[in-house]
Amino acid sequence: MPASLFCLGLALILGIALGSVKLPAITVGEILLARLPLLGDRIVPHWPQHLEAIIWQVRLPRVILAALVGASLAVAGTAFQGLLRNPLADPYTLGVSSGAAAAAAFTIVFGVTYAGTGLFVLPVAAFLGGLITVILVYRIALSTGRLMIHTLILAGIIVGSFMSALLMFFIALAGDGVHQILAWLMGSLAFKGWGQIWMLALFLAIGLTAILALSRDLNLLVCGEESAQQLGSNTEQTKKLLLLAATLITGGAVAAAGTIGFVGLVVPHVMRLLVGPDHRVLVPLSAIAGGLFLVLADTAARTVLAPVELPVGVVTATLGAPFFLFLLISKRYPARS
Amino acid sequence: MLKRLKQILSAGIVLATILLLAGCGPKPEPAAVRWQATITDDSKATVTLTARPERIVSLSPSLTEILFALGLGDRVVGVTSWDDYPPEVKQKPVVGDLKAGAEAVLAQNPHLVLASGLNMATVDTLRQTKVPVLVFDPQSMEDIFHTIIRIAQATGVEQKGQDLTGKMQRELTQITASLPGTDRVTVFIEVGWDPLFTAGNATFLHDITTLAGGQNIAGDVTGWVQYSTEDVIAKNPAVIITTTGHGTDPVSTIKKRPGWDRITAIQNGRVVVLDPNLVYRPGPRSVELVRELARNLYPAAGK
Repeated sequence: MPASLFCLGLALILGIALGSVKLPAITVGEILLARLPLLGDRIVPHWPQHLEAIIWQVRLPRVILAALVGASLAVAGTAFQGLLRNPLADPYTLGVSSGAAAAAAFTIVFGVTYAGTGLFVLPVAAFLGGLITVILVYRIALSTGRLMIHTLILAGIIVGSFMSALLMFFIALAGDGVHQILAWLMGSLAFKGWGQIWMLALFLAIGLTAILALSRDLNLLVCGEESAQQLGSNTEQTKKLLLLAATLITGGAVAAAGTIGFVGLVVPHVMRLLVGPDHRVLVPLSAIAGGLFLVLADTAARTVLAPVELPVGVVTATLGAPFFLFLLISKRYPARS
Repeated sequence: MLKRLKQILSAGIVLATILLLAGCGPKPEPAAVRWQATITDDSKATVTLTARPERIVSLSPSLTEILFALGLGDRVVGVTSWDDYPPEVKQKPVVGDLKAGAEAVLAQNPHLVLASGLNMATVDTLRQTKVPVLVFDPQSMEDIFHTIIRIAQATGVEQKGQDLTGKMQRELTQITASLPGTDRVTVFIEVGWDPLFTAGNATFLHDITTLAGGQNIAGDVTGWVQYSTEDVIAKNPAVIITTTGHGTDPVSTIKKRPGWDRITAIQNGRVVVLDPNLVYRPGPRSVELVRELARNLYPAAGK
């Protein structure tokens, strides 16, 4: 755990030091330390003052956002993979991303697009869209008071497809707004305000706490519902709470940064290979690893083709897909019964 | 104890009176009238500039053209890779393409950033810093005039802004005066083929077509929309305007499309190809565009 936190810290520093504008690493360090109460007074500024904005208002918030989104997606992915007992599950399996995308497209086409107040309409709409979609999926999957897992996945596919159709409808109506919708779909970690980051941190804190508390039940659930029940676990309640917590986290991440793929799918698998399937350890480490992964991916997205910025989803897919392929064909991948 | 309280109270009253009198005294006249500009841009943000911006970054080629037309070329310290007019622009530092990132912009230490609506992510990030950002997205000639005036206000050259828009308006009146009032030429504006896209009302292309004396057959729809070939054939426009290059012989290329050879415009060979640099840059050169278009729509008017 401490090693992984250290790695995360390194990644954060790397993300702040690197960017499309080349700043010497020492200067970056000095700019950061200059704000500290005691040490800061010892540092004499020798850099142009306007460069501070790059560090404090562009890179630092972006790196924090990337870490939070990465952690959120990884935790949600871990929870969903356990809940749905499906190694191919990710935070978007149950339609959160499709619902959020349809809602976001709706606000772009019909509502305020980029006026001052519009800044908060889109993330809220995206969050609600994702939440409502999963509630819908949940209701469909509920049968005689019990939540059927296989029905949940199927319902997710169906409702997700419907939401995608709605999304395409809005895109057709969008006209000029198409590029805005596409930009949102590709995911963006550009800093838009501290409020957004606080909201995300709040959702992550709530959801992560809930999932950590349910870790033991999640371990039992993975072994099968009957076994879990026989061992005294209240599976219905566990499933409901996990679904709610994971959806909350995913909704927050999607609202903040759009749909960024592969993090929620690949990171839990990698961590499972490294630390095993015990969720009490897996969940927090996936959070840290997810943050680490996305910070590195975002740093690459910003620097590889500088000054052109790649959409971060491109980098996560480029890194994630071959890695996942490697996992599949590797002998070390345990067969799931 | 009471005596102590009275002492403190009287000291306080004296102090307060002194401060009040000091505040009410004659204020020293400011050495010079402090310049300030408050602009509401197209993203509905109200931005106040407290000093004339000497370093301006433009994230849109059309806004760069406006800056140069206002004589502010010297103040431009950052442009996009797509900027190419006027030729002096090529010597300016490039901060990125149309999706330039905030870092490169900030590295130029701008006092003002002008942007179009195409890069709102960077605009949003820049708005978290102290740098004023103005977003402009003109969709008509009137919008262009309004944009020029606002940029002139933001940079402290209001008179030049009035002069420029005045000149453009006079030229425009001259052009439209020579056009026939009735019997407007029907026009189809083709923005894209496969799928077929046209520019309906509330778009820049529609506005200049109308100003040039044309009647947009898709004028009843709003914005950039996918249009059906059936409607084009049924409405039978006399002229087709296109911005996409169709090689050296646009008429024969379009003629090959099934059903299009029946259209009057194709039969008379009246396909007007407009320079995309002019079309997608609503700015100072737009009156030239209207003039060229009017010349094509009404060759007999002999301008």
